[in-house]
Amino acid sequence: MRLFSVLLGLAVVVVSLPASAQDPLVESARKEGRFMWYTSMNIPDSQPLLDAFTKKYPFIKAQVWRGSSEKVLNKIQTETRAGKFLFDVVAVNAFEAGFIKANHLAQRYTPPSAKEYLKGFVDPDAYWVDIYDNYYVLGYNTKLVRKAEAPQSWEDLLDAKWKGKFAMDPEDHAWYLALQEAWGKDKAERYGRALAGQGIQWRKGHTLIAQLLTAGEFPLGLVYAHRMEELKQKGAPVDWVTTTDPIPVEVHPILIAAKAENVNTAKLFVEFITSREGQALIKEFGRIPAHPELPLGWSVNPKQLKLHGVGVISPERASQVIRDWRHVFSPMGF
Amino acid sequence: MNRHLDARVLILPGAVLLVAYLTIVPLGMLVYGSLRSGAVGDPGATYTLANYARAYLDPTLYRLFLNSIVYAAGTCLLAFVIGAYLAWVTERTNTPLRGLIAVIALVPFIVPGILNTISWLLLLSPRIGLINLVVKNALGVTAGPFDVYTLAGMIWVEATHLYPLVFLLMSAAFRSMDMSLEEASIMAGSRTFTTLRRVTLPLMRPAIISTMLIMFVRAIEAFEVPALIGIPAGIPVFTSRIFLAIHQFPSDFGLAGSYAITLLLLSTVGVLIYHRLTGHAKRFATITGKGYRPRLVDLGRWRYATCGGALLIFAVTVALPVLVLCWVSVTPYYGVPSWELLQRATLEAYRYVLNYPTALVAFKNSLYLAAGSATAVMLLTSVVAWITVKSKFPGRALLDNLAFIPIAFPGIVLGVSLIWVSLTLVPVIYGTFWLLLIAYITRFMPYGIRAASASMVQIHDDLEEAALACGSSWRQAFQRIILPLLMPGFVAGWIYVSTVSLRELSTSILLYSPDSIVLAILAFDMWEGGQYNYVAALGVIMVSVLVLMATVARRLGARIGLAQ
Amino acid sequence: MIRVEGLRKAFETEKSRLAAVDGVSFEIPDGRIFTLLGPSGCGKTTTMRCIAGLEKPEAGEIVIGDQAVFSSTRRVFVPPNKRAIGMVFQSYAIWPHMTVFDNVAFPLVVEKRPRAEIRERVADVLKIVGLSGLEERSAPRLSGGQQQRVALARALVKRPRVLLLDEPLSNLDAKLREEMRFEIRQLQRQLRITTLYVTHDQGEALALSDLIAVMRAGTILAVGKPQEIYNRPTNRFVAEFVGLANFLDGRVVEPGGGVLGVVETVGHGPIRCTIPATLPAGATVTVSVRPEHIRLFREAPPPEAKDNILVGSVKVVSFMGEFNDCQLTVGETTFRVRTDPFLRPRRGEQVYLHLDAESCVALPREDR
Repeated sequence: MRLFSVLLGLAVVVVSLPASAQDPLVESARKEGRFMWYTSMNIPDSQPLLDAFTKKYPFIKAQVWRGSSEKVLNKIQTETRAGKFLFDVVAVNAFEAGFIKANHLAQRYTPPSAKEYLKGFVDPDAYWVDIYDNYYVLGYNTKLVRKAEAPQSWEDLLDAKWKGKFAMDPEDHAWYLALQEAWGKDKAERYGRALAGQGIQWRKGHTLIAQLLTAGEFPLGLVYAHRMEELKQKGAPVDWVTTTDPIPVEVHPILIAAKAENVNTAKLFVEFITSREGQALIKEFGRIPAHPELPLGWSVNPKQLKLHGVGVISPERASQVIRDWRHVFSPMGF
Repeated sequence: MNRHLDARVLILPGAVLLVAYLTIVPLGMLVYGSLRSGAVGDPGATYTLANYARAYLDPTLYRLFLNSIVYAAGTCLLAFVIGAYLAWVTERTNTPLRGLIAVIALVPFIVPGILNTISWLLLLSPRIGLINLVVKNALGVTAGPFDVYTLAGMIWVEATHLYPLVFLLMSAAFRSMDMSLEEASIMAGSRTFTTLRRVTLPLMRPAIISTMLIMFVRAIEAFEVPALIGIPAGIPVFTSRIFLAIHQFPSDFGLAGSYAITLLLLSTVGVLIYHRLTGHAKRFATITGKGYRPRLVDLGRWRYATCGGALLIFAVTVALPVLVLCWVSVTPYYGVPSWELLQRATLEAYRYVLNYPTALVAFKNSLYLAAGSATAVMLLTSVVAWITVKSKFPGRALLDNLAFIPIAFPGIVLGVSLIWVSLTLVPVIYGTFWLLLIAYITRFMPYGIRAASASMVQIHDDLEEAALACGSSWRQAFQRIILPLLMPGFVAGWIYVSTVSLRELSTSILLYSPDSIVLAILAFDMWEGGQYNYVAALGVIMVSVLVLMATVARRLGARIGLAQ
Repeated sequence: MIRVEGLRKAFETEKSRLAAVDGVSFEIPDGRIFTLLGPSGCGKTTTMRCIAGLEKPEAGEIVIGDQAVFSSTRRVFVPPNKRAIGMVFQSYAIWPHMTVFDNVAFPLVVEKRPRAEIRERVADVLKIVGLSGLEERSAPRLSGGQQQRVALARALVKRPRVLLLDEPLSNLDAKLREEMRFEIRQLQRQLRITTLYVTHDQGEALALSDLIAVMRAGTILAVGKPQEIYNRPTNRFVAEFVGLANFLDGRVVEPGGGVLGVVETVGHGPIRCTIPATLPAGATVTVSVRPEHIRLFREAPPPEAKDNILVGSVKVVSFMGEFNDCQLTVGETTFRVRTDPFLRPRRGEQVYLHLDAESCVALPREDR
């Protein structure tokens, strides 16, 4: 199934606009002939993207290095401190992107398709563009909770009947940041403390939470919307609540290295991945593309959701959010 | 003075320098990093003790310490009992199905740690745990008897994952023991079990302490169980703290380093205790030149009981988790086994895994790395063990300790330090297979040194001296006499290192490049990609391949080891 | 030839330094068997290991043939594998992972000899030690005697200049031990190989040595031919360790100047005995006399044997086959005496002892 979608994506790429031979960016990229992409996107998603890209520009040798966001950042930090810029393009989570931007490890570039993006999905300073999103939603097991009984808002979680029945990841910082932004710090903190008093079931990793939610270890969990949709399609007894306000959206930005060796190829790749065809591929992988004009094919139209984008923030701010989060929730047993 | 330049002059200092280099550089980075206010290379950083203050002035520290010790000690004991029992049964008794037992005993080890842990969550969770469900249905009670989210649960899961290492090391030790010593005890009128307790076990003290030491440190630095069970159970240990420090934003290597120093001290104390307890190594030399014949203890009818015991252990610690793994790998999402879900069974996960981009490259790299690092580690540590056990060089205990130090490095700290070192010193190897190899050799040297020195202790000095007196050079004696006699320990260490290197993730992930990608990274990638059934399928494939490899390696080991 | 000069070697223990070899010097002439004899811990094995090169001495000089293999003054240390020695270990040190052939061939293999030569020489040496036909036997499956022969064959196969034997017979049973004694002696004669033999067994030492050095506490007390060591011990330790001896304390009244003199013993009257020239009148001495040098009479002895007569009573008589071993009480002292098997004294019987003056030796008294 997935293989088929990838092939379909490739087909879309092939029949779409042929690369313009006159484009000066393409000509410069041809001279460079290669580039390196550091990403936290997993290989089955990032590799086909690169394949599609090199199919379009066969003269480019594209390489991908993949690790989780904090590893990508560790690698970049260590390499650049040793004086090497070995990557040309990097795509990581919002907090790490903020660090890269703040530490002058990225350079400005606005791809042509950026103008089609909504506000909050493109850096006003032009350092990054979003490529896909994670929606933090309330998932539930339909065998344990009937749709009518499921909590309709974040506040409903404070009901005594959900005590000990809600699972979260000990590092759901972006979710808390969105609450802080949407509700104000005080309300978010009051809510957080009340929620912590409900006996949160901590589980490491959203994959594990989704898995255990499906299995029925707990009836409710904070999960990614696209993961729930995928499980639903496979017939798993799960669904998610569309009415929570806000639904935090974590962006996943792409940036070009400050001293990218292959800067033109890097630009060409960012142009490709943020374009409609690149975004269509990302959608094929079951992710939520950043491009606003691609229908998701969900039962609910994202435009009806109370989305709250968590943009790229400064490292100081990010550290503060993490401190606040730990202070309120003490998720690691301290 | 000596015209004949002996290989010894090159090999010994070479080995010492290599160990020192592999260890001291990352150690330096660790200590330096723990004393800095910012990351290594950060221009604004200054010297500070703040990291230590933050790490050790925490009022909850005692709880952390206590949890870690209880967890590690419990794991170490439980794993030891299971592993040593299996080793004794296969190497020393006439229990039926010994060959089979010896192969199955390695399986838990091959299952990636994260999968093993999750399998146990699915077996022992109070709500959805299969075992609990079965018991609940059978007894008609409302609550299952087991709860994996406890300290006991953590110990159980970790121990069932680690006992193969005990099995390997203890098998090697049993195999090289002179049976006449046991026979003497039996002649003195003691029963089989008294002999085991009074003669066999005390004689194997170096091996036992070595093994316990590894188990203890291994448990204290284990990550999957504290993360996946310890966090929900609200039982923090050192590794959770280190994890937390790395997941600061940005990663706080200073704090992680300060915690790691404690691990380092604990393991150093362990090595010192080891040296104290096995100080008069000659007492433990049980491979002598007088010739011995390995002999099996005849258990009489008890042999069916010992066989049954082993099979019961496997049923619980191997069959159950592997069955869960198989079940998960063919279902689209996890659910308690049911007819309904079975109808949705699919091999999609296997298709996915086998068609995974770069899977073939990763598989090839992993195999080369496993074989390469295992061989390099065991050769290096055999030489080092010779120095620390057989020679009288001053500072040999220090060398032993040095080779053991990497056990305390958090994988990611090692990764970062290797990035730094290779980029500033030898940028050519950055991102290549060779850098990964260096990383693996560093990480797994501690296991190699324990396996090699426990076996080295058993070899009587005369055997080597006889070779020298026969006119062989030191190198010839080492190659033709010491190494073959060391073979049981060598093979045990080799199997261990090669299998753990297949799972190594936290260091590799920072060091690999698209050309040097390895299997563990693919597995982790799939895990993060969100499909547990894909990882389970990969796990089942890995188990199958590695069981095959283990069988072959064992055959090989039995052939090149001492004739039975 | 092996020459050892002023050899010193100490071992560090946790608390102290123990001088294992403390200034040992000797010389082994070509083609002879030289035995280091002494109780365990006397430094004999350490001395041998220094000669083999397995230990590095602190001081002294060791010359094998014309090559100085160790010299502390000239800073020479030749490693063991360059010393052209063959050595047999007490434990045999047969490598358990090899066959008999591999074990014996090893010294030639490491010399990288051609294969054919190795096969031939191993076959030769196995024939010499009587192990032909066992080439492919795995080493741990040999009997003790066979292992011993393998060890010997391995030591001899590369035709070393010197052979070092470290208590080679101590792990064999008594019968085999005596057989091997003669075999080793014969083998050595046949090959004319300079041999250093270490043992704590005086019988072995006497039976197969050309020269014996008696060691105690890291020093050599006496060197000599077996007969000299046995019959003319130079101090009480040597007399006591090599064979059995009875001792009488006394004082020289008539110096012998190397031949017979008289010692006034404590409680047993004057005894005529051999007195070394070094002992003047008035010197306190211990007279040593071996059990077989005492004749026992059930009645008063004939007049020609009127000197050196003591009277005692029989305590224990053990029948040993070719002789009787008697313990007698003479005054305060207990004597061991050998008598011929036809003379069967009863317990408690009063008997007369005649000490052969030539065989009694006065030794300087040691304060013990």
